[in-house]
Amino acid sequence: MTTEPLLSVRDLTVSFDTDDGLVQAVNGVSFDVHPGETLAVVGESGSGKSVTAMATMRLLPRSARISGSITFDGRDLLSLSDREMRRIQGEDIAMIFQDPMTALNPVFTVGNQLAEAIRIHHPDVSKKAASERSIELLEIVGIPEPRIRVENYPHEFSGGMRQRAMIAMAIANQPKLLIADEPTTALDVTIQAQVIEVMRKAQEATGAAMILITHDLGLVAGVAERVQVMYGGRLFETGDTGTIYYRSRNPYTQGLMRSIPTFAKRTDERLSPIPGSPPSAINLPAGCSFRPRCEFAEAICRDEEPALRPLDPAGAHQSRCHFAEELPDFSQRTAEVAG
Amino acid sequence: MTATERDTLPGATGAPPVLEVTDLVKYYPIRAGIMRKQVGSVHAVDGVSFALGATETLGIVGESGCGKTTLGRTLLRLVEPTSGQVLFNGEDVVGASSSRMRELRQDMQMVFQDPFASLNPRMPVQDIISEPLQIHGTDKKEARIKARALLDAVGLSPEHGNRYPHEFSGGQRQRIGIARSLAVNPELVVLDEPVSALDVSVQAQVLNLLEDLQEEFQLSYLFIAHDLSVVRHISDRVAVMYLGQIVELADRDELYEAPAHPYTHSLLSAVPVADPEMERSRERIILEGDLPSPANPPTGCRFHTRCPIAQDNCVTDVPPLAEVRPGHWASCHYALGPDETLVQRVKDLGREVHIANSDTGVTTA
Repeated sequence: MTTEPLLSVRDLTVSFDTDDGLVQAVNGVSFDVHPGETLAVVGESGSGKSVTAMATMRLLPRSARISGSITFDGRDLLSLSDREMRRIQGEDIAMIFQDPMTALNPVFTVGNQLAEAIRIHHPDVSKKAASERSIELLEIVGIPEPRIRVENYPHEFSGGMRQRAMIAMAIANQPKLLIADEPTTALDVTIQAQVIEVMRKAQEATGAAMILITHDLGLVAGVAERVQVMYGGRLFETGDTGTIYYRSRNPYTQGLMRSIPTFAKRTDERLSPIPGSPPSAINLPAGCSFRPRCEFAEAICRDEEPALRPLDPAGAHQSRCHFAEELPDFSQRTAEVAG
Repeated sequence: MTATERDTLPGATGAPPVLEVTDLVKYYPIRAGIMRKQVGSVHAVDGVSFALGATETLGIVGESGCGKTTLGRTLLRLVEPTSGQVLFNGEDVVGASSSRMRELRQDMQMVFQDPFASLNPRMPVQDIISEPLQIHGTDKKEARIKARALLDAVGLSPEHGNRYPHEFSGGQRQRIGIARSLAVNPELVVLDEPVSALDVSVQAQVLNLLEDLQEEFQLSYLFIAHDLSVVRHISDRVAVMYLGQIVELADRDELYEAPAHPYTHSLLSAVPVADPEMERSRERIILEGDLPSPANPPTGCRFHTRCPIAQDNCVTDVPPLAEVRPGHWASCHYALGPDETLVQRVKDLGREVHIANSDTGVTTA
C-alpha cells in the first residue's frame, strides 16, 4: 500500500430526515481504495454498505445530509457541481447494480445504449467506431454472437446476459473505479459463477479498482483482496481477506462467520447464530452498537463507544472493539470438497 | 419415466414414509391470441417421484425455474397437479374431496419465503396464529391460549401476541409464520425458501429453531431452497432438481461429497465457499449457457445442452432416475463414480471445459 489511493473517504457521515426521526445511515466511515485493488464491503441489511457506495457516486437524494470528504483522483467529489460530477459518473467511476433493468433502458437496443454511453463522454468518437466498440464490449463480457445480440433489446436477454450487458456498459469508458452493489445476488449459482468470471475479466481488461458490496461471504472469499465489515453504519473491522477470515479480532465478524452454514463441511453441529437482530438506524444502542448482541460485552461497552483501532503497526488490520486483543482466536477454515 | 414401483421410490429408506410421490406432473398452459388458445405448456414439474420418511428432512435444491416451488405447492394441492399420485400416510391426496382435503391440510402445512407478504398486516399476531385453529373448529379462547404457547415455542414473548406484523423484524416474522403453520399440529411441513429473505446472522437462528421444533413436534420437513449450504445443514437427504425433474437424490453427505450427476457436480463447484484459501485453490467448472426454458425443454437428457460430458445418445434417450449406488439415485447415462471428479472425466474424454481458478485465472482443460 505504498501507492497513492485512488479513492479516499474520510469521516463520511450520511443521515436522512424521516417521519420517524433522524436515520443515521453511515457514521464516520473512513477508508482508501488503491488503484487496481478489490475491496469488499460486507454487512447485513441496514449496515450502511450501500449508502456508502451511493454517497461516493453522489447518487443519494437531496434529502440526504452528507458530511466528511470523498477524494477521488485528487478531486473532492462532494464539492463538485452536478455537471462536473456527471462527467465522472460513468467515465471514471461506474456502477454495477443488483438489478440490471435499473441501468438498462427497455426501449433502446443494447448496442444503442452502449454506443450512447461511449459517445456521451467522448463526442469525438464516430457512431461507427462506437458501434464497433459496443460489439467488442459484448464479446469481452462473453455474450455469444455479439454482432447479432447488439441489435437486441434488453428484454430479449436472459437475466445473466442482462447482468453482462450492464457490466459491458460499466467498463465502456475504461473507468478507474467500479462499484458493484450486490452484483450477483439475483442470479442462480451457475450463472453467478459465470458473471463473477466476467467481472474478473472486465477488471483485468481495464485495470480498474473495484468496491464489491455484498452480504455473501463466499463471494468475498474468492475475489476480494481486502475486506471491511460494516455494522449499524460504522466500520467494525478492516483487513486483508485472509486476516478477516482466519484472524478476525471482532466479535461481530466472528459471529457472522460462525453463523453461515457451509456445504463444504460435514457437520451435525448446531449453527451458532448471533442472538437478536441488526439494530435500527433510527435508534442505535448507546456505546458499542453491537453490545446488545455481543457475548463478550462488559459495562464499558455501554458507557463508551470503542474506536476503530489499528492492531498492527501498519494499520492494515483494524477493529472496533474494546477487547480486540483478548478475544478468542477464530478461523473460518473448511475441509476440502469434491469439485 | 414410467410408473415407479411404490417400494422402490427414490429416497425410500424402509422406514414408514409419510409422503410418497409417484410421477407427479404439473404443466401450466401457455395461451396466445384473441381466443386464448393453448399454444404450449410450461413443464414446471415433469414426472417427479420420491418418498419422504417420517420425522425426516428432505431438501429440494435447484435453480430458478427448476420447479421446486411448484412441486411443494402441488403436493398440498395449492395448485392442482396435471397427473400423478401423492400419498400422505398411504392416503390419496390428489383424489381427495375438498372437505377431506381441508382435514388433510391440518396435517400438511406450508411456510412461505416472504415473511412480509404472508402475514395479514391488519391482524394481531395471536389472531394470525390462532386463525387456522378456529377455522378447524377450536373455540376462540382456547385458540388464543394455544397461540401464546406457540409464540413461546418459536422463541417470541407471549406478551407480543397483541402486536401487529409490522412491529416485528424479518426473522421474528418468519417465526410467526412458522408458529402459525404449527398451530394445527401438522405432521408434514413444506418449507419454501424459509430463510432466504433473512439476514445471515438471523438465518442461523431460524434454522436452529426449525431443528428444535422438528424434534419437539416430530415433524417431517420438505425443505425447498436454492442455497446449497443451508440445505446441506438441515437435510437428511437431498434431491437436486433441473427443469422440472429430480436428477439426483441421495443421503446428504453422499450427495455433497460424491455426487454422481454432472449437473450436481457443476452446481456444487459453482457455489463460492467462505474460506479464501480453499476458494482460491480449487478448480471450478463454469457451465456454458443459460438454463433452457421449461416451456421448451431439451430432448433426451434435459441437461445435455450444458453438460460437459454429454454423448450422442444423451440428445435422444431420456436417462431414468436409477439407483446408481445403494440409496443414491441419479438420472445420467454416464453417472460419475464415487471417487471421480467431473474435471477428471472431462479431461479423460479429451474435451474442453471452462475451468476457473482465482489464482491462475481462467484456464481451459
